[in-house]
Amino acid sequence: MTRNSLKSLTAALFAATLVLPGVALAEFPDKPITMYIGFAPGGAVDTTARLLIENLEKELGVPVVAVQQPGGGGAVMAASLMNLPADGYSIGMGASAAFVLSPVYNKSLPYTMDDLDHIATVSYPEDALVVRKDAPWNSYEDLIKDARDNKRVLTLSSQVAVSRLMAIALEQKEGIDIDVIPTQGGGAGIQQVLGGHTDMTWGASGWHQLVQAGELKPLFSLGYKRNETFSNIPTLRELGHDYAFVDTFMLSAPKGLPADVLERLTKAVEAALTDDLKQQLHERMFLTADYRNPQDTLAYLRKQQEEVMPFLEAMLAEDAKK
Amino acid sequence: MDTILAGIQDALTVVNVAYIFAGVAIGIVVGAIPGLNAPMALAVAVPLTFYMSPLSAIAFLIAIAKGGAFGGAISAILLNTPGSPEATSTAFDGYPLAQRGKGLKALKMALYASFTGDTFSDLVLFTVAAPLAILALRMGPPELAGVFAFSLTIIAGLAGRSLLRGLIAALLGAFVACVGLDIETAQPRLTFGYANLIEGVPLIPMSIGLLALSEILIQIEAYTLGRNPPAKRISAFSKSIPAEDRRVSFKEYFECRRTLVRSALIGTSVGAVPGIGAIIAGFLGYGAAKRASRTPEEFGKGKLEGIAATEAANSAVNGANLIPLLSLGIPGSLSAAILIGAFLIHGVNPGPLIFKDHGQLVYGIFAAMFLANFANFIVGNIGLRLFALIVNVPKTVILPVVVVLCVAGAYSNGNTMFAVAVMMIFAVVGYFMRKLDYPFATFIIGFALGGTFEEAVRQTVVLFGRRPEALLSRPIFMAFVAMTVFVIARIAWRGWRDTQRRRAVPADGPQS
Repeated sequence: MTRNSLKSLTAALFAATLVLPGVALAEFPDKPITMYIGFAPGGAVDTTARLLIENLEKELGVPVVAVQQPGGGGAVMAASLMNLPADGYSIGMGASAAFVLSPVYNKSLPYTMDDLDHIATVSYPEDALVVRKDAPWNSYEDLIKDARDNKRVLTLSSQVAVSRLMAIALEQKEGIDIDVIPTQGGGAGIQQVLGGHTDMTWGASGWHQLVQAGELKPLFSLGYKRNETFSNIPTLRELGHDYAFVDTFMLSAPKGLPADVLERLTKAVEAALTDDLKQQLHERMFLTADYRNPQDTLAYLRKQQEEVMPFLEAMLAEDAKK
Repeated sequence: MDTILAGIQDALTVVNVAYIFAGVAIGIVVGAIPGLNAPMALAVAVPLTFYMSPLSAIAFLIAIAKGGAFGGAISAILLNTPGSPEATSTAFDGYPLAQRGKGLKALKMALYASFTGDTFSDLVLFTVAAPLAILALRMGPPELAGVFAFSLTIIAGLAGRSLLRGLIAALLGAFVACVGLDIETAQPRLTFGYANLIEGVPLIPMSIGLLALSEILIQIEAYTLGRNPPAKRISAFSKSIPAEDRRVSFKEYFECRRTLVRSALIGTSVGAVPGIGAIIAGFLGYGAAKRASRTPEEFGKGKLEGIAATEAANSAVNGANLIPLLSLGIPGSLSAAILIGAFLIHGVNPGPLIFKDHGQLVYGIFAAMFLANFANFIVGNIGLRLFALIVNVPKTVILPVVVVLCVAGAYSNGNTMFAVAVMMIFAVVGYFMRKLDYPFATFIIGFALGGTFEEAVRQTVVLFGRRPEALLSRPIFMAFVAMTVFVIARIAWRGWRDTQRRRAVPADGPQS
């Protein structure tokens, strides 16, 4: 091989590497995709993500690698995801509260819901406010009446902002007092209610089996519509409140995803949510499948934020006084 | 009875036994590597179990957790770098023993203690899970605050030569624990606008830096400066070592019986109450053994009982952790939370109905747990012969390898370079703490207890702020307060007595 032909070969190879990324984009995806999961292993978000991944791999024809990045209810993942290249090979599984609530009350977070592209919503958990089986209340009305008539200060174990906001909504409308006991991590609130240390807790997981066993009583849920399995629980909206919040699991990506890549991902998620998977989520995890495309997802986040904004402001004002 | 037998039969299939042995082996290796720990291995293993039968899946995962609980002791003893933070006090007596060529003896004591604690805790789970779970529920915020306050008194026992330095290190640890979101308002504290810090300083990268990498720095320094020459690397198998230094005799094991039982009880109680954790259990076991001993000054210089005290306690957390999980569906630790996920994926919802709906599975799991203890014993016994060879590998080979493992272990925690940076920073902190003789054990306690203690106290304040007198009618809370006051008073009195004596007999030289 002459020196010249070697040179031209190198040049050709170099040119090829320059062109390749363009080709690659046209045929997205041609290498493994990394899915950052914003929650600890074993939880509902993590399990949903891992079940979804199996089907996504079939749809996309490339491996999807799950990488755990828990913290701040998905906020840590969102903050790091926004800085990754917007090529569709880095996506993140989180929950809507991290975009709707966290950036509003935690000013140190470097993002808002508009700083990421949202691919789709996937599912949401069946939630409920629960009290101990021997609690004197069998319904929301009982609870409020007792608090009002006997000037009883209710205690609420609260793990997330969603239930703190709920307490504010109840206090404002019913003129009662609720002491919020901040708890952290798996089931601490349920543990406190079962032990009789607090009156009630709100949760999206961990209560189903205890309600079925009769250890806990559900009083209401915070959904837009009733839970599928526990359909006898009224929603707070039905009880005359303006407060609803459904912490929906969803997929996001760094801002500026090429339109065809976004569409490919969205379609893949829609197809990956097979009837079989929906049934699996529902029966085993008490999760309701809930697909939305990118536009609807963003609209949904905005709607949620608008609705809770008055309560969020009241919460921030309360904290500022402390 | 039929259900129980059927369950045991299910557990003893060839496939399940193979999974249990594989799980234990994975757990031991992962536990031995600084930075990698059982919860991480579990998270990776859960998707692998999607296609197994529910029993195989759970047995495999529990086996990993059990192996991991022992694995941490291996690197603690041989390298003075605990594979996981709960093995911190294993290194206190294990490393001095290893330096004297008794590494194999120390490893065996750790294994036997681990096995004892684990088995004890499992028996408690099998027999009295339901009533114990109800009892554990009595532990509300004030009771937990009492437990944590009492746990803080072990600082005195771990402080080493200077109580003041021990307290300073503990306060520093508590201060570092303040980083993160305020639990009530969810506002960031000391995060400097850094999103990575909103969950606080991550424990695992911090402890790798503090415990493992800093020790490596010291050893590299000693090696390059030619200090304490790499003189006698005593092979754990060398013929020159008398046989009794390579094994633990029944007499030696039996002499530790009080310590083993005490530690197993401590570990089991800690495990049954969600939210305390194996780290605290290990330290509590060690502190209690030292306090009860007639020769407390021998602890930290290579006392077998010290290893037994820590390992029996931190391993006993394992079985007891399943008490709230199986009977109430409440996870007591990260490992337990991952197990709940694995249960759910197989259509089993842990909680009060599990014995009725899935009785055969539960008894199968019990049998598998028991089997896993024996697997741990067997695999551990074979494995520690291999691991003991580490001591023979030249430092120039072993130290770089451990550094790489440290970096990889830190990175795998959250998969960010941020975790590696945390590890590096605390390696430097740990280096100076060792040089200046500040005990890092109390730092870890300050850190581990700082966050949870604050949470329990603040919850108590919200709950009882309007009626503080109601606290007086909580017996468990009052008992822990009384114990805390008693122990602090005793420490103060002893300190006063020692100073008096020293004044009286100045020729006596420095008191230890």
